[in-house]
Amino acid sequence: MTGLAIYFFNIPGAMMRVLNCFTRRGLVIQAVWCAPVGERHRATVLTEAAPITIEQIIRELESTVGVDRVETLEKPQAEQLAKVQSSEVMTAENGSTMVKVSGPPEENRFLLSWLGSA
Amino acid sequence: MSISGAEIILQCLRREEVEFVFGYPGGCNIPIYDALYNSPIRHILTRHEQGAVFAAGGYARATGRPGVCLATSGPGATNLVTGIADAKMDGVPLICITGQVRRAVIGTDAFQETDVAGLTLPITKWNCLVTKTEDLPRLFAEAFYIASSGRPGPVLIDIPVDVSREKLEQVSYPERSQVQVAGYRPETGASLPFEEVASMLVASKHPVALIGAGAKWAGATQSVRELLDRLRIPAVATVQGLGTISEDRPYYLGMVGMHGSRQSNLAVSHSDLLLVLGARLDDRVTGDASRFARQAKIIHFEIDPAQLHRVRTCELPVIGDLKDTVPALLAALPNPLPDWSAWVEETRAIHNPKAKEHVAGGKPSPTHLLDLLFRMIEPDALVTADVGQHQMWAAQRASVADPRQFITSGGLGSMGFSLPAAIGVQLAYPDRQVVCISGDGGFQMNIQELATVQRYNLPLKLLVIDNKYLGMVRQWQQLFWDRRYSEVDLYDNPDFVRIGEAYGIPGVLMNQADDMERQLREFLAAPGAAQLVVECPAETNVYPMVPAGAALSEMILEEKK
Ligand SMILES: Cc1ncc(C[n+]2csc(CCOP(=O)(O)OP(=O)(O)O)c2C)c(N)n1
Ligand SMILES: [Mg+2]
Repeated sequence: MTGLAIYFFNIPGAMMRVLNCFTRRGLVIQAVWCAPVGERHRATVLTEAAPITIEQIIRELESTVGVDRVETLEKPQAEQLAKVQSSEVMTAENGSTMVKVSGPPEENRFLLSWLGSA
Repeated sequence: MSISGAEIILQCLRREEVEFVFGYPGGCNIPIYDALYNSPIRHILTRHEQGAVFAAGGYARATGRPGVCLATSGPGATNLVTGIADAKMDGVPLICITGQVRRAVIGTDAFQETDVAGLTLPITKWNCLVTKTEDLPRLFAEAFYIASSGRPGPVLIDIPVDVSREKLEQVSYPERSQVQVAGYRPETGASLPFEEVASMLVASKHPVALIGAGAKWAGATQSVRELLDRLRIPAVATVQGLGTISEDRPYYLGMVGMHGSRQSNLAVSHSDLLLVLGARLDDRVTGDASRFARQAKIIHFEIDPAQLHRVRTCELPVIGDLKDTVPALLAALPNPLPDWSAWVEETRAIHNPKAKEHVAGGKPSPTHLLDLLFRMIEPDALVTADVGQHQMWAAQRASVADPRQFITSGGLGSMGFSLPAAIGVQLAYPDRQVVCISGDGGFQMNIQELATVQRYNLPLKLLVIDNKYLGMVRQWQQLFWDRRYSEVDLYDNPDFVRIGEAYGIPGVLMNQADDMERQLREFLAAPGAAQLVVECPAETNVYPMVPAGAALSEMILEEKK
């Protein structure tokens, strides 16, 4: 699983253009999280693709109008993120959203910090 | 005084010094047409929106300035799609304006509503649906900036009809120098490895320069010529780079790629260093990428990072505008440079075989005809070519003085291109000779544009290479599909001369080779539009040919007996 974090400005079409770099190649987007981070947006995309394809996608993303910067997640990070899919999401008694992940905290450090809870 | 959205649009176009808008009216762009009614911008009415977008593309390819086209919503907009994709592939600056249904009904599948921004997202460099009339000046300024900077490309602005109608009391237009788009930095200021490039060059025994369209779009044709005159290494050009290097240069070997010259393809295959200047290295140029110039290191001068590393990842990229990077390389070159003349001689000694043609019954040979044509046209003539065999025969012979003089749909390879493109070219240069070369198949894809030629009195010279076949597909079926000619026979073509005449364009049929030169001369000398229909032998092929999937060195040079 490869994870890319794409920082872009939310100008017309930018989010769809980001996703299109993956879908135009017939890749399945396993998961995508997208939200504002400061003045930009960040889309974190998980997909399974050959390294050469990922390199092409990165270059294409970097030359897409609206995209500021692309980061490749370390493999363990991407794998941790992939776990979010299988984790249980529920509402806690105090009304906040609880995500139950498997494994010890150090294995989920990236995920926890990404979720803003570490 | 209040001003309508449509008037703002035209004001934006005037600020960008737009001369022509190629278009076709309909319900959702009527307000824009109303504003055009007494505007100094010249509107050219084509007979199909595809004609309009290709004409805008032809205009842009000939002048280097953005071409502008206008269509209504729904079917008008969908008819633009092929021309937009063509411009995306070849990096041509286009501003496409489409009408859209009014804002209140967007998303209700209203009459003639199509999600044009969605539809064209992957084939535009940028596009938008205008939601606020006051955004028009900014969006147009951004559109022109994006279309014409970096690797140029098509942009689209979709404008709801009520935006065009809405009146504003106050409008401010951004200055060109103030235009910025978040997340768009076409100029990369990275420090570039010119010393490294120079030392790689000096160390090379068998360098070859491969020249693409980048030089002409960057306005760097002169610097590239200067560079090659310094280096004097074998040089080859892609279809879109033809004309960058003059044929009289001893180091110039001609076109490279699927139908490139044997000298070019073998020189590239045997090189130890490829200096790629503004070319994408797509599959039509490289053949099997894994066997492309195997021993060569690749130095890739390119403006758009997305075009890099198609062939292999160990290339040295030099990202930037050739207008800046080529002079910087020139400055970094040592003096004296190695003498590569023996290598040039070696590549020139490679035999370029002349394919035998079966010209039965004294019919005109298409290759001989095009040889003559390129010798007889005026030095500054512009030539458009459609797609197919005639295109490749023309490209192989396109000895033009400037890369903007040979215009064809390369990356998309879209039939129906040459006639409308020639219309845009002729309007841009009313006093220059413009020759449009079409096949019998492609000519019929936008044949309705003969009406546009007639309406605007364009002195176009229309050359139809009529082999009564979708020749290029037939060639593939002959060579690789056991001669099973499936649905490529155009035996029942109409009488093109009479069709031309019906549109007021005089024409002549050439079906014998005897009088070829005289007929061509008369055709080119005609004062107004003229058509020459050349009935060629049906089964002539384009050689050399690198079969799909073969290495560049694996050319078929002639017919199997
Ligand atoms: C719009 C479009 N449809 C189909 C093709 C596939 N195609 C490529 S060349 C060709 C034949 C063109 O025939 P013609 O215009 O007669 O030219 P010729 O090859 O005979 O010179 C076809 C059908 C294409 N390139 N563009
Ligand atoms: Mg034909």
